[in-house]
Amino acid sequence: MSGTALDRQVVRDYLRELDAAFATLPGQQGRELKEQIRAHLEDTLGPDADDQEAAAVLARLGSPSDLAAEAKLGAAPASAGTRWLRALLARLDWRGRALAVATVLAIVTLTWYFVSVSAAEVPTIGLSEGWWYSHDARRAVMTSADGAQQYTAPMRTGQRQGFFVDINNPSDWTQTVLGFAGGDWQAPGARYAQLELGVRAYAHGWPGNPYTTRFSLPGVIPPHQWRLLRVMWISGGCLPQGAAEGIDQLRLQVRVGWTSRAEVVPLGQGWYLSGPSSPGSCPQ
Amino acid sequence: MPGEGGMTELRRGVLGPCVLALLDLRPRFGLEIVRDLAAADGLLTSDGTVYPLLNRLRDAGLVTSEWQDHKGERARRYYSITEVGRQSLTSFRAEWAQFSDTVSGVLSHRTARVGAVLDGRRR
Repeated sequence: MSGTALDRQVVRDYLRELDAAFATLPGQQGRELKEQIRAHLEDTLGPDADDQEAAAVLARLGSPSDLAAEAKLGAAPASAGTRWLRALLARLDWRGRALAVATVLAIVTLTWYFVSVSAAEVPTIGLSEGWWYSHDARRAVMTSADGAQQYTAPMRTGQRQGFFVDINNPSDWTQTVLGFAGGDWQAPGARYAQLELGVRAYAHGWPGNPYTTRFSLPGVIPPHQWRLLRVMWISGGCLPQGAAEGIDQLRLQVRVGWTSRAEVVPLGQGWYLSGPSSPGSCPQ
Repeated sequence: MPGEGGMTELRRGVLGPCVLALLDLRPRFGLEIVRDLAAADGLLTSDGTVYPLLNRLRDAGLVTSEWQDHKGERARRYYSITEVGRQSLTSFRAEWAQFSDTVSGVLSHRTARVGAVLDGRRR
């Protein structure tokens, strides 16, 4: 025999009926009323109360359905969906409710996660930049047309050329640059390009000596941090005198959280190579 | 002749002011209110109806409730009347006196008086 009157079978049955009847009440109202009824039973039924006394107290209290009906007199009517949900919850035991709560929490968490990830801002390019090799930097020319800037260096056929820029992750998520989106190379006058990320963190501004920075791929950019991004290639192909080709954005494959997505990162200016390419690069 | 349903409605209507009247004397916890009302014979059809009523009175701002932990007893929710509740009770007392007098008059066939009262209202 248990120590409290609420543990009596007849009382437990009553409270279970009460749960079912109150399932159609708004949550707070139902919980409060049940707490009041429990307190009433604890006050009226001593630990020595027998089943007959308990039954008499319960009879005076009124049937659960009558109490629910009384409570509904002042309650705002619940929508059909809410009533259905309450009726469903009333049929579930504690394991079923725990499972339902866990499922809802999982759905909410996953939804929040995917919404947050998809809303994570795309990396942006800063102001520290330059051609990687000094002889390209020395011979490069900055031009402007229609508000767009273009940084053009002569093509050196068969030679390594490239540039570096600083890149910022403005989001609250760590972003990992995996490579070019779709496996494309993205470089002017080249059959392939190598994309790497400097792993040295620095505050926005001058990133220090880029030549002492270690570059690798994949490259991790923690939230709100800056890294150096280097694009290198071996120049080739045909570029006649006076012609130029280049890029003004990078399409990067970036992992954000558990998902990977393609991100278009504007470079702020175009990186171009100008012809002519070496004799023999163009078909006769 | 009103049936049991009519009496239930009547009880429901007067139960709120009766609870306010009890709380006007001093704050009480739920079971105290139930016992005091039950002691007034015929006022309560079931003890449980008091609790939804208390919640309605609280939602209407006529009573407040707070947990109190008296020494040697378990914590209980005590209900107190508010100033708005007192005003409502005062107003009900005045109306009830006239209303009950009128109903008593009708029930005891004092129609002339009832007629006079009604005539007085029409004027």
